[in-house]
Amino acid sequence: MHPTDTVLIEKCVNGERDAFALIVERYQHRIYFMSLTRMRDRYEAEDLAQETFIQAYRKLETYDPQRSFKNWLFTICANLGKNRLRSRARRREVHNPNPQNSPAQPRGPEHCRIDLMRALHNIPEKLRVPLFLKHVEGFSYKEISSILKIGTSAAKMRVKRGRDQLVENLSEQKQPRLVNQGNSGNEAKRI
Amino acid sequence: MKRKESENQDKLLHHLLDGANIEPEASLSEGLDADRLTLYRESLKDLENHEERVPDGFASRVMAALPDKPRHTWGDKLKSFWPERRFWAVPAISGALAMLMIMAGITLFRSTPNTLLIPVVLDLYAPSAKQVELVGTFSNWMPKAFRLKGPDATGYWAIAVKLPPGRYEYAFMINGSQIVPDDDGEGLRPDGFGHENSLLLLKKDEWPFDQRYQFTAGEYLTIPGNEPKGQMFYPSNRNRELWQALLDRGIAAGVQKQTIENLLSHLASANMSPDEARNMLEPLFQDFQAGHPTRDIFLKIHECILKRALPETLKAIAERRHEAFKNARAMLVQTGYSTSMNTYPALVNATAFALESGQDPAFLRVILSAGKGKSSEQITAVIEAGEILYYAGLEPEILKAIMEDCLRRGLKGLQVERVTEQVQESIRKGTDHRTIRNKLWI
Repeated sequence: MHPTDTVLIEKCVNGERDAFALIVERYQHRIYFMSLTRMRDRYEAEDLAQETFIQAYRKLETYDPQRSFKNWLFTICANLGKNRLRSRARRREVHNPNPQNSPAQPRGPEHCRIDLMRALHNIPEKLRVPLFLKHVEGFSYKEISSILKIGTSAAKMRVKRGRDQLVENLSEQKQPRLVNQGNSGNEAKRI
Repeated sequence: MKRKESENQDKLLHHLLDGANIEPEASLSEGLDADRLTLYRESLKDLENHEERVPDGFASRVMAALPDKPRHTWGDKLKSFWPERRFWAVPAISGALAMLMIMAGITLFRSTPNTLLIPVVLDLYAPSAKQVELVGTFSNWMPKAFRLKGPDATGYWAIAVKLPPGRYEYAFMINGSQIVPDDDGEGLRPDGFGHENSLLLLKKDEWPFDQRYQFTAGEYLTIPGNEPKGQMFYPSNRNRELWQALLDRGIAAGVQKQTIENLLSHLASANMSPDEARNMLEPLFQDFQAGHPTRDIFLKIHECILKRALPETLKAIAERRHEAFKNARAMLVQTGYSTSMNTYPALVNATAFALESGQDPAFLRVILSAGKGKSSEQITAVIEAGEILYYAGLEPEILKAIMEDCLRRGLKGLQVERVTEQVQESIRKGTDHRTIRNKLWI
């Protein structure tokens, strides 16, 4: 049986540093995905995920066991990400007046992966993160509003617009490919 | 017409994607395009099933970078704050300035009683509004005190405030005249004039996170004092003596001069006669003198004034609330909560609001008896939750069972709040009320 987050945190606070490794194992992929959604760059995402765990460890004593640990961890990640984006914007203003975001290059060859991540990364950051929190992590609107420090109605609206854009981006990506396939196979049909 | 239809379809689509329990036939009869729904569902399914895996060795790199102990030592904190080579003067000067400001702050605000303030963001979708204000019990229902910023690119107006823990009622005032509640508040409560106010319940342990991560200074507007600047009361020549006598009576009862001046000037401007005002206020002054909580009754009067209630409506509403408070005190004494109601006034408020909302007194007595031996905070949280769920339309029998469950399980404030949210969500989805309770404790 796996120990709960609360048990592991108690162990960490009592000096059992290794218990935190289990927490990292448990949340690493999810926090990394959240970081990637926010930063759109794999190196920066890894860096942000790492910083999130380090800050969480430093602040473990302030964590209230009555609350969900997952919410707490994602709040830290969201805030650190926000700070990073701010400082990245400042750096760009100084070094590169015309920034071009470079969406993460997927490592896998599968088309669905390419489509999905490209479609997700082409959504504005303000809509992308709430969409991720709702549909990947399954947070409620109230939790999203608490994590991102926005109102509940704004959270709902952002998720709604995020969905619209995701579907639009995916449809746009599928359209040219189907047309190309159609041209080569004499079955040129619009979808 | 067509546009409205498309907006409704859009709303229904996203409602379904949020997991609302609507029969497929019903959605089709609303004209929702089934292909569109499938397209959205498939795209979101792709996203939900997608996995991103962290590069190999990530966990060991994190573990290697961790500090020895979870807590920052003072040495670490200072070290991380101090620049390594140049610019040493920056932290030195900042430190000195900060010290100066702290000293000045301590001197200026030494008398400020409450220190715990909880940050809240409130927003409203009103793309065509010219001005949106926040009005509520935290500002004595005074307009012009708190203006929302907006609209942003998505049509939202927002305000970030910090409030002490407690129970608040509020609404938004659009363009200085139209008053609308916040649909996304914790609950809606009839205001007595045929409209609704939003409820905001802030618990002491609402915000356990380290605020360093959350906010930057100046991002939040603070409402600590709850007392807006008063206005001098200049009674008109007509009935001057009667108004002055009422003012003196209020001051003699111990009500703050500014509060009573504020109230009387508003009652006079609402065309209430001094006799009517005296009839209404005298019982309140007596209660105030006896040390009973009267703040919420005064607040209701302010709300009536803001909403331009006729004098007779205002009087009826204030008396109804006064009656609810009197009955609540009597009920708490009868059920053995005499000590708690003095040490924890929120219990009186919660009981009074539940009675005012029209809940059956016998029902509340059962809950109070079931709460024997629990802390005042716990029982207050359960009664507050009961009021919200009562307005949400939960069947009385199920409501009683859930409130008793919460007490039996010894749930604390935040845990009760989670239960309330879950039940509200299930009611919205159309789940059968009995099933809601059965699934609640799995």
